[in-house]
Amino acid sequence: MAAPRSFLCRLALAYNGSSRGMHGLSGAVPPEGNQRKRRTLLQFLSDHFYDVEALRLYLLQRKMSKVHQENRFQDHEWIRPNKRGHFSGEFLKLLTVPVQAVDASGCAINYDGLDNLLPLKELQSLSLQHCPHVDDWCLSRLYPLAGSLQELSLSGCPQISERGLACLHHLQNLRRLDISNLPAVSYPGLTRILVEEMLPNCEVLGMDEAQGLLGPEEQLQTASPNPA
Amino acid sequence: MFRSALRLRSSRVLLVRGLGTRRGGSTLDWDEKVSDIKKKIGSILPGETWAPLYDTRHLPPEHSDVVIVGGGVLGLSVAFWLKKLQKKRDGIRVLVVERDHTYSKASTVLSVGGIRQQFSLPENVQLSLFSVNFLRNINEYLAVVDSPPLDLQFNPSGYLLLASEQGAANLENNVKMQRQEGAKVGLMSPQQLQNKFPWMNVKGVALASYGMEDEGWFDPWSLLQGLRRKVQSMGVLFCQGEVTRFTTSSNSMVTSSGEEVVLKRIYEVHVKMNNSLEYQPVECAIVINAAGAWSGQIAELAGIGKGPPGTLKGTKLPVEPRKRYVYVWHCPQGPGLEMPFVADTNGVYFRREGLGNNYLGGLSPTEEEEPDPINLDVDHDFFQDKVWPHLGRRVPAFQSLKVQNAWAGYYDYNTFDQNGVVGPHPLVVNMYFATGFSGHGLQHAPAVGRAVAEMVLEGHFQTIDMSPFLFSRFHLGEKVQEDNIF
Repeated sequence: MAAPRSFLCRLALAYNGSSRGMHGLSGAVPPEGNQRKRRTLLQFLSDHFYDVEALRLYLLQRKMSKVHQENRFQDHEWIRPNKRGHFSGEFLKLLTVPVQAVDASGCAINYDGLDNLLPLKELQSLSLQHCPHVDDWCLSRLYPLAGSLQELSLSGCPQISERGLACLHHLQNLRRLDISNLPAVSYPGLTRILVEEMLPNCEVLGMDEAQGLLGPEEQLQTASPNPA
Repeated sequence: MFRSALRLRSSRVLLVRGLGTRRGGSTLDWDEKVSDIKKKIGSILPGETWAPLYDTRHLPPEHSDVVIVGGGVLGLSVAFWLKKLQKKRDGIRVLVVERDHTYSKASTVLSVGGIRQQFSLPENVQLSLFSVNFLRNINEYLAVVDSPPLDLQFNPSGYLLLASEQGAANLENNVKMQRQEGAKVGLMSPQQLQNKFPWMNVKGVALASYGMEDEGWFDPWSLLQGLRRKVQSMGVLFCQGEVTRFTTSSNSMVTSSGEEVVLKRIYEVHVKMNNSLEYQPVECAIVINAAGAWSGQIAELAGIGKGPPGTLKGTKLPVEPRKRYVYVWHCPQGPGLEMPFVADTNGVYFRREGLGNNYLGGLSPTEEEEPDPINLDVDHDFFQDKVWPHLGRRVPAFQSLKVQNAWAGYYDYNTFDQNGVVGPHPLVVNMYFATGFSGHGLQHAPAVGRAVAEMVLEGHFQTIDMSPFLFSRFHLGEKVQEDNIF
């Protein structure tokens, strides 16, 4: 019968909703205003039914861990010795040739994927442009390449901040560092000056003075010559 | 008929309202009455507490499987792992009791936020390694649907521990042990130090150990809020109140040698509301003491330490609050971005804070100079007399600096061996400890939370063996001394 079933449904709905009342009252962080406005049917359902909530959590966990699975497989494929970004069928013959340059722009490489790059002791140029998963933790792993790395490009990586740039001081042989277009860096002008002080022999590209907040004191601080 | 009567009444209200307001007569607020009635009907339905006489929403529930005393990072970490490792969904009911929801005196938020693997005990190194793994993958562990990802503001700048002639051999052994456990730590000679950090004065330094990876500092407040948010989404209940009493039942048993042992179980926890005499007895199966600097008081409430001294019954929990100062100063010519978290030979520690040439640091006072932990007032003379001279010697640029800010926080100091207490009490069988870390609790919190959750759910430690940290060592006199404490 339609009537008793709908009554039961409503009862179950109210039961779930009211038993969650305790959670709602003791909530630490209230939802932001704009999130509340855009409350979709899915969010409404997951507030009232435990199963929908569990499903959404499962999908979120899957999404978060998917990065790691994708990356390992991908890395295994292209880490074979090759010159600048050129894939060739003969790379199997080049197994003993030291890798000089790796172009990983746009790749989904992450912290664990760097395992494949770090043993390359003769690596001179590394490009990690526009890599969405390269963050401060990844930068802290680059110190084994200090002996040979001369060129590093990090432009366009959305998760790198000035805290990760601080651990590039290990790379003393670095001659060119491209840190343009890093949206997560607050105070780009100041960061550029501090990075230039940290790596005196390196040419730092990006984060032009026009972008950052430069006062007269900071301009006086610049000891190293500014190529730009 | 009823509807028409309503309409009549409301129209009469409209007529009367114009005159009534002058006389201050009450208006019939029909909307409010309707919502009150709806709330009352809603509270009768199953799942809601039926409280016809007065509002009980601020009180904790009457039953809970696990009561965690203390809502700091350790307490929340235990709650998180209990819920994560539970076999059935909603299989374990957890209640976190925290006295101060603003965390104004909590050691977690007043902490300097450093994490390192450079310890002298292998278990501590393993705890740190797991914790840093946890922090790196924090958005996998603490993901909550519809919430933004967490940003811990981690600075991977590493720790630099300096050693004089006397401490050099010890440092070398420690580094060897840390590398065996998997930490990425390297040794540096004074010459290498001078080349790498030209702003340092290496006089008096015989050897230094430098953490290359997985060490640095982060924002403890974001970790705490992230844990809180996740733990609430997993169904842990929070209560703002103070634990004032444990009601225990005893069971007397005789050992094989004929000695009588009284084992106690806590079956009820009295949670008193703040600023009132109201309390709620919460029936519980397990109590976890994660009260930080106040763990000693909580242990006394459970009767731990009430007995003739020298016996197991008379062994108190040797955790007491110790006040530590942190000072923030500005030095315009100070070290730059590459500066790690430096810990000097005499215990003075300092690190960079932000990009504006600000630094923070402090020193743990000696036993004789211990300040009174009655309040968190800062002693600025301590900086002038004890900290600044050492700073100026080690980093000459620090000879001219200006103190911007200072605060004080508590260490949950373990007077026995400055290392944590984890695991159940031998006599009060259902009280588990997760406290006493004396200044390195924050960096071990994820791993210790998991260890305690494993102990509660499985009965033994599974991933990291924390049996040297059990309570029984206080009675047996087996110290697990941690040397690298700042």
